[in-house]
Amino acid sequence: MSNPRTTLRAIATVEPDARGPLVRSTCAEVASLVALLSALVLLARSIDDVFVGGRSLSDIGWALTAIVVLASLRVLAQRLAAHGSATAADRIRRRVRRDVLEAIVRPVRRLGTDQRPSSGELLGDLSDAVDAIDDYVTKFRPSVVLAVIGPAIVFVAVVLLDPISSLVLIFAGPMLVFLLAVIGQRTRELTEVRLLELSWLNGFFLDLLRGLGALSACNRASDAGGRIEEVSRRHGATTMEVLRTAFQTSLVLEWAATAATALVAVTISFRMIGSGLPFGVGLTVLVLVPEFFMPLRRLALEYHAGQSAQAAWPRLARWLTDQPPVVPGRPPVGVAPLVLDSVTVERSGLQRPALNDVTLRIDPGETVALVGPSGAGKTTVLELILGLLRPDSGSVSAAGVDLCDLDLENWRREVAWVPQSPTIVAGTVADNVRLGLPDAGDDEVRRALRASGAESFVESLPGGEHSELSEDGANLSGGQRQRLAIARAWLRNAPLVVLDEFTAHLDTDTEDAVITAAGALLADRTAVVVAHRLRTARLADRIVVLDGGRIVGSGTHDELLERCATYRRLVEHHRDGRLGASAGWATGTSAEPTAANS
Amino acid sequence: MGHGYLRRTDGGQLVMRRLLTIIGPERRWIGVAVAFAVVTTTSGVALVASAAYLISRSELATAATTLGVAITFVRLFAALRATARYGERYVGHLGTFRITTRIRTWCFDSIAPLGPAALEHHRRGDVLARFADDVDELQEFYLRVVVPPLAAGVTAALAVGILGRLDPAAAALLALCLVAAGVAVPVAAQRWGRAPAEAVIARRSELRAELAEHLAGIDELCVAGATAPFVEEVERLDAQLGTAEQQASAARSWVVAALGGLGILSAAAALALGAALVERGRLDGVLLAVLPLVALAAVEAVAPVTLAAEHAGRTRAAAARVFALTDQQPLVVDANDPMPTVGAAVEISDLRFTYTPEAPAVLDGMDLRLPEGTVAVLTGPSGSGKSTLADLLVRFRDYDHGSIRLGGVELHRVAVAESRNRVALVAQHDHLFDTTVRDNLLLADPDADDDRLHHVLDVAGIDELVVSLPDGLHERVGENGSRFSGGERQRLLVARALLRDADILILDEATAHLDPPSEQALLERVLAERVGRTTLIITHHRDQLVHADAVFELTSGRVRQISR
Repeated sequence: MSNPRTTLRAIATVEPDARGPLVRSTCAEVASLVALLSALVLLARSIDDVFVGGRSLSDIGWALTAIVVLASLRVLAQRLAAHGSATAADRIRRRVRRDVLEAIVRPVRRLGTDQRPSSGELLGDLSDAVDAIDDYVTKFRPSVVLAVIGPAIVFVAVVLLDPISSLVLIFAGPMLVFLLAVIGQRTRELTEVRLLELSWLNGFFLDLLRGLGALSACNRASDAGGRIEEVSRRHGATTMEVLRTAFQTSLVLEWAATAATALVAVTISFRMIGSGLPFGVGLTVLVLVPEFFMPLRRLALEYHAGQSAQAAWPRLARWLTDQPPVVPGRPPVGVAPLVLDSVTVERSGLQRPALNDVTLRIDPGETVALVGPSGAGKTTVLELILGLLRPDSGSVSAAGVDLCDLDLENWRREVAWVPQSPTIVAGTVADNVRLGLPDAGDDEVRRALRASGAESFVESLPGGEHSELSEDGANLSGGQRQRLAIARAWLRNAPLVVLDEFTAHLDTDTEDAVITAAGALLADRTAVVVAHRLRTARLADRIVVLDGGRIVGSGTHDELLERCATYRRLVEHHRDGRLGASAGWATGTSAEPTAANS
Repeated sequence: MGHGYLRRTDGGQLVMRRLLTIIGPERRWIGVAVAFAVVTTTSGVALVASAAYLISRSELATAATTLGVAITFVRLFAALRATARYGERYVGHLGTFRITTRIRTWCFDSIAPLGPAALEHHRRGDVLARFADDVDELQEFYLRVVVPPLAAGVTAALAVGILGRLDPAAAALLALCLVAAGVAVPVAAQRWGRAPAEAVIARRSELRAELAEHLAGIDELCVAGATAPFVEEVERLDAQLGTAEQQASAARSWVVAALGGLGILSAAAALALGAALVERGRLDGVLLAVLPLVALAAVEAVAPVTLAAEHAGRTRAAAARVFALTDQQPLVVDANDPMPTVGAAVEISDLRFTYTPEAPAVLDGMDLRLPEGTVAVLTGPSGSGKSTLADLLVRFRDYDHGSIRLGGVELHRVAVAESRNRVALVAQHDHLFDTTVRDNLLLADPDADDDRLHHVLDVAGIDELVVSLPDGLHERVGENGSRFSGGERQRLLVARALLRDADILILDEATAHLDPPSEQALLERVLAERVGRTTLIITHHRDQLVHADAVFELTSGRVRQISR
């Protein structure tokens, strides 16, 4: 975890336009504190005037008026302070969210290859982590400011009024520093333990809910409630041990605050009798002393907001700082021949490289199918071609130009990609097809739908291509989604087509229709097709067999059957396993695993 | 479903009473927490009062000895406050912990009899997580919503009562200030603060939904060069969120500021009143300092009520959502006069099932006969109702029309527990619990010994792997088995189902993550493990790799035999 002070500064300076509101907020916080302290001093003076000086109500009228004015000023100042920090938080949050988002959608996120966060992680960064910044700026930062300035102001006031009482605060001073350290460490410990425990228990509960089917099927659902009880108790006993000591922080803090008040009261009382300390001074000091500790209590209350931001900031900062500079690249001169030259890609968490010294040449107009068991490196090859990954060694080039030297946005204009699970966004069918080419006209969209075989089902929808699709395409079948994705690729009309096992989740009949649609798309284009199921490979001019990150064979179906053992093994399983029909695998009914891709 | 109930929950009173009933004896924590909170706040107020009195008294005294009582009180209240505060936090945590446990247990016990179908439409996305968060939110109710007003009320009554013995007018003034801070401000905060606070939550989740939707396919958008509209939309939503937050912050900060100003104003008013009383000789001057300082401290002590009121709104909304779910009618009614089943034949005739009365029938006049010991494959397009059939057989749902006979007895007449003992299921999205391999297996048979566990793992082809793990059977599987690959997970699930030792086994896409040779080998071993078991293999591949007695296809709600 990073240093709290650095984090605070980093967040406050990430957006220059937030500086003004932050300064305003700080000034208003101080003003509100000064108003409070002045009101308290006036209050004590007026009590002195009446009690000791024997003045009447009318004599202290001006002081009462002044107190009311100060109270109003305090209200205004607090509101101004909140407004300032809310404005700053808004600017900072929007700036950070925009910058992180822009870093995420950059052509190349970073040169390293092992850091491709999942969409869940990206969502966490862009929502929860960014939202944590809000609370940090509006709650935690003002508390920190007050915790630094507040005690200092009170201390100065007490020194001026009664130097001897300030000794109590001087004694409490190191205690204060100690307490701040304690708050920094013990409270962190406490919060972590507490959060860990609660989130663990919440996770346990969620796990039971998710597994309710399994529990019910095993006739065990009725005992599971008792498990919650049992696990909570067992788990709670140990954490309470930790908490019992961790809570002593708050005991110490409370003790320091109350003991100082009591000590000041008693010593003042003695000195009033012994050395004639005036009542007014004594009372003023008495009302000021609790305000010395007040900001610290508030800081302890807001500590949680600080914690969340402390955890969130490094996740955001990596997007804001670690980005490679965008070097203006050359425009592509063509897509083929597309050459992978001795490419190696390491993946963290894998013993062996995802691709190990792979050399592959795809000629203009050629369709190459990549086949091989899960984890063979097929998807990695696609990621390299799409410019989502860069090789750790070796090179990827198109028409003789290294992809690293190309302008990636221009390069991608030459590529149409149909992924395994295409994205469907909320919007109309046409909107979704237009993701391929945002400024395409209605006619072009309709042509693409027709070419991809999506026309018939789109026409059957109540609003045709203007029908609204729900988020995530929940109202589409798998085959319909894939046909929309192919329509998207048609619309792009790009010379290079990349198909990732796009029929993985379809049943056989639908698969045939989708493969037919894809076949038309590939004609006259350079294409790379990943085939989890061998039947998809019938689209290809040449089949390349990958295994364990290496190319183990390349050729036509017949050539490979003769020469390549891995390929033979893959194909034989399909022959043996088939029920019924007698056609060869390439036309038929295979059951390659649909599972976990690489 | 649940709508009638929602209307009922809108009456806050009923929700509160119900929430209090749920935690049963754990209610005592509320009492303990209130007691500690009262001691903390009253001793805080008393500390200020006695300190002010002590100093005033010293002005008149000539020797320190006459101040003994006042000094003792100052020390006493200081010590009491610090200790009670510690107790308050400790009890607060312990109580929250116990109460949360109790709520979760209650919640699970209410949902368990409803079966997994009750959570079905909560499956999508992370709505189930949202539900768990809602349940979590309820814990706030007891210590953050119930305790502060009670504690503030008692403290206020004590302060007003004690002051009343000094002077009724002073007591009345204090009461007025406390009502302003403890009632008027929270009510105003609710009145003006609730809508903006809800708007913030709505805007945040809108933004989150937009992010979630597009980030899932972010690579695709990047490659298509279509990210600009997404970035713009996020900026637009973020700006809207900003506006909502500014409004919410305005409402909140006026409340906080008002409470701060109110304390000072109360003190000024108390001083004015005190000065007038001293002037008329109705109040001893030595008590003058006590009045404004007590007013200041007491108003501070009731301030937490406002925060409690804010929590109340959120808790109520969470409670309404939780109750809507737990109050559902069970989808399956247990047989009240159960009959024993004989044999392991499954006979389905003219079966009809719809998810909702309006929806088209998923199964419509379906017939299927599986004599005892049959090995059958059931295929059909995605969404054709294959998994629904499995749900019906293990009694997660009930059929509307037609007949399912299990061991010769109509399923309605079979006890739910009995039918689940007869039918073991590996569901399509079956679950592994985040615990050890052993605990996951024991779910199927708590009495199984390790030899038996190794046996079923061996049949499922994963014993060798499990034995090779550092902790063997005691190895943790991770969240939903995440420490294993897709294929290994499925093997564990198959092993669990085998441990049920049921006469009928349903494998719903249970081997989909295995490659063809492994899949075939696994199925052969499973079939050989117990000859004569009725086995239904559901798959969307027409060519399941097994020598089945019959292959059926389910389309348009009906089954036809397509081979053997």
